[in-house]
Amino acid sequence: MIINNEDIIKTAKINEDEKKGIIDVFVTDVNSLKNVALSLSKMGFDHCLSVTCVDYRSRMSVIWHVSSYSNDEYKGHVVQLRIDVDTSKLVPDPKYRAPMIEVPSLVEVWKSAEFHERETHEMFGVNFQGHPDLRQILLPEDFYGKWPMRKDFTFNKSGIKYEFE
Amino acid sequence: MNLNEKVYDISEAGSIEPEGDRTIALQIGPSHPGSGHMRIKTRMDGDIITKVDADIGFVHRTSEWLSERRQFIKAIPIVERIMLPDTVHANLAYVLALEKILNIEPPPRAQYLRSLAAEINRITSHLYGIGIFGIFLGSSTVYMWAFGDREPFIDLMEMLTGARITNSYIVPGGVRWEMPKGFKEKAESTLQYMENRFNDYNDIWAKNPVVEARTVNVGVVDRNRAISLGVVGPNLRASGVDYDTRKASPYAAYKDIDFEVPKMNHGDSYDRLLIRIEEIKQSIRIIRQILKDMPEGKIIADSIYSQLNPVMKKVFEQEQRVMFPAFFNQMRPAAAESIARVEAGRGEIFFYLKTNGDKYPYRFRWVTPSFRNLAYFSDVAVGYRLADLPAIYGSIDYFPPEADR
Amino acid sequence: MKDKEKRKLRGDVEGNARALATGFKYLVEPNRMTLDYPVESMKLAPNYRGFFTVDDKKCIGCSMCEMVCPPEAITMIPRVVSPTGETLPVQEGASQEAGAKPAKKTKRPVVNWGRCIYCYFCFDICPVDAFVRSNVHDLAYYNDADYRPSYEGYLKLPEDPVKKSKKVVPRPDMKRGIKYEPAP
Ligand code: SF4
Ligand code: SF4
Repeated sequence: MIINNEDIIKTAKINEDEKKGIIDVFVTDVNSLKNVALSLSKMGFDHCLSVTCVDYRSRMSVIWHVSSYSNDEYKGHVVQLRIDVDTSKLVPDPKYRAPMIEVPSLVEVWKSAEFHERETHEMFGVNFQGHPDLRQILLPEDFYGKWPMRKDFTFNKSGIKYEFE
Repeated sequence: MNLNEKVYDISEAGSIEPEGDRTIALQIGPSHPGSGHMRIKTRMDGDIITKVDADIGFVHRTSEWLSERRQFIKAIPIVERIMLPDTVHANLAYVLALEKILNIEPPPRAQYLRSLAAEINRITSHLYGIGIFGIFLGSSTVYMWAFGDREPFIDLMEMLTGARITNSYIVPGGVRWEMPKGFKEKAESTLQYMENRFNDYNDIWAKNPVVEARTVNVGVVDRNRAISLGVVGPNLRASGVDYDTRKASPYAAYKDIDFEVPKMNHGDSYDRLLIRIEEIKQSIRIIRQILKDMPEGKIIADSIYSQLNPVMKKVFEQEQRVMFPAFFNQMRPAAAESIARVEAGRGEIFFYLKTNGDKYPYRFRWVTPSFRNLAYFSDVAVGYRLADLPAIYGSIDYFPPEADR
Repeated sequence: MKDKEKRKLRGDVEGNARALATGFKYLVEPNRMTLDYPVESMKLAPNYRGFFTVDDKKCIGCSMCEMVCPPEAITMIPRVVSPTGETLPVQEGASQEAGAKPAKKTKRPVVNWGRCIYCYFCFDICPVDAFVRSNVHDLAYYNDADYRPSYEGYLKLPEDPVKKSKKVVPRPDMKRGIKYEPAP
């Protein structure tokens, strides 16, 4: 067991896959996400490699990949901190093509997550609550609210006409 | 909070500031301030930078989106095109992630050839970075030199793979071509040439008093700050963090290779300049070892080779060229997820690949080194003079097309 | 000053003197490695990935190359097999002679050179190894339509446009990195 912190074991489901090099930490309760992240960072997982989101239509899972620079034991491992958000009960918002989902931001814990969270925000419509500067980063302004990386985003292949407008 | 409003406010630059604010807004870019299109929005107090906001995305090519709507094999050319100076590493990272899902283990010779291509690529990438840094500081000599000296190494890649930059050399199961005859001798003399050049580089560039004056103690990032910013690659090691993916989680042939990870401890632009030269020296050492210890054997995994038809097997015997089994066209890996980390020239590439049994990747997340080095702009440049900004930008070897994907 | 010693900086006098000396060395003996194209041009190795064509007789029309092509540069066009084994264009509404067997239908690939990225995936997926390679790489076209050859145009391998120039090969050189020597 690489993750031996009591708090994390209690609140999250841990699945260590040696071969693929991923340690999956699945948090079921949104409120405990930040505590798990803090415990991980105290253990020595000091930087965030990537923040991403996977859209499964009925739910979306937001993933933080974190690893360690300073701790020799953890250098070779990547922790995948994961949380699922149910999308079926969201209320549609006329401003956006699809409603945003909300999860807490972990920039306070890992400063390196800042730009990754901004990218995930504009690509998937994830509202990271508590992010200090949640703006777009890669896409042009008129793309805000279209969440292009979600699975239901479609557009006409031969032009720049979008189906939903 | 209405997020929409915030987005349309192209805040910093150009807006009218409250009375009493003596700073001015200055936009650097977006038309190519250096190695690609990006805009650096700065606020200046006199010529001291008080705030920086790096506005990127001008060369965003929706690469993740494209690769999620194509067969697995077609992602190989796409990943190469996000980072042209680092094609082999991007290709390798994707193939490593895919191989973990497909459960293919390439044979040792293929592993060595992968490392060989990767190290040649690392040298060209560093030379590219040195050249761009040169032109940032106004030294067109080193710009020409570095790009010229990149040429012999690109020529080596051409000999190995048949293409100069976009090699598409690595496929699941191994590599596509055997090392041609005469490669070892040519590589050895190219390496010797590069070693002889280091003295000249030091005289004209690295130990030149002008360069020293402009880079020493500029853009200092100490160890803890580098860790918290999550920067990668040579920039991280210049700040004294002993981290290299080749050592931390070895891939390809790096387990068997003996090399050192150079480390500096001041974390300023000057150290970031020197560390690239040190890394080229290590790469030369690695290439020599690889050429000496290259094991014999097949360059493609048996599980792939056994799927070739007789015509393809004959081609392999005669030309040492690996053809693709029909399986490459119809890959439908079972639902799984995998990650790959590869130390590219500019730092660590991180790929996260998720499949669901369909013929397209379900989710394919790319994190490129330049995107992670973006933190340098907003955090590090503050407090320095405007004239120091090129020295900081150039030293981190930032490549906008790679960051934007 | 302490910093300078600790970090092995050269300082103004020594540094400038050395830089000037090296600059002077290269002023006297420049190390240009530029190729004087098109007066000289490179003789490329046989494994260089350039323009290519398909062997009409070998191809079986299986469309594997079309499927694998990453930028979708390959189009399969319908052809009919002639008695000699070569293929002919499909003639719409051609009257069938009484008693003659209907011609066998097949397909052949044509590459749009404006899209091809020379990855050679089509080469390697072809089950009968029907593609024929060349190392011609420096063609230019006058207009957009020329990028999309007809099948007959595609079958002809393009000629080297700088055939008449002096052919050279790059050799590693201790002083200049790359030296271009006349091709053997
Ligand atoms: S893969 Fe080969 S045989 Fe099949 S259509 Fe293409 S060229 Fe013809
Ligand atoms: S070389 Fe690559 S891009 Fe060109 S036609 Fe073949 S598969 Fe398509």
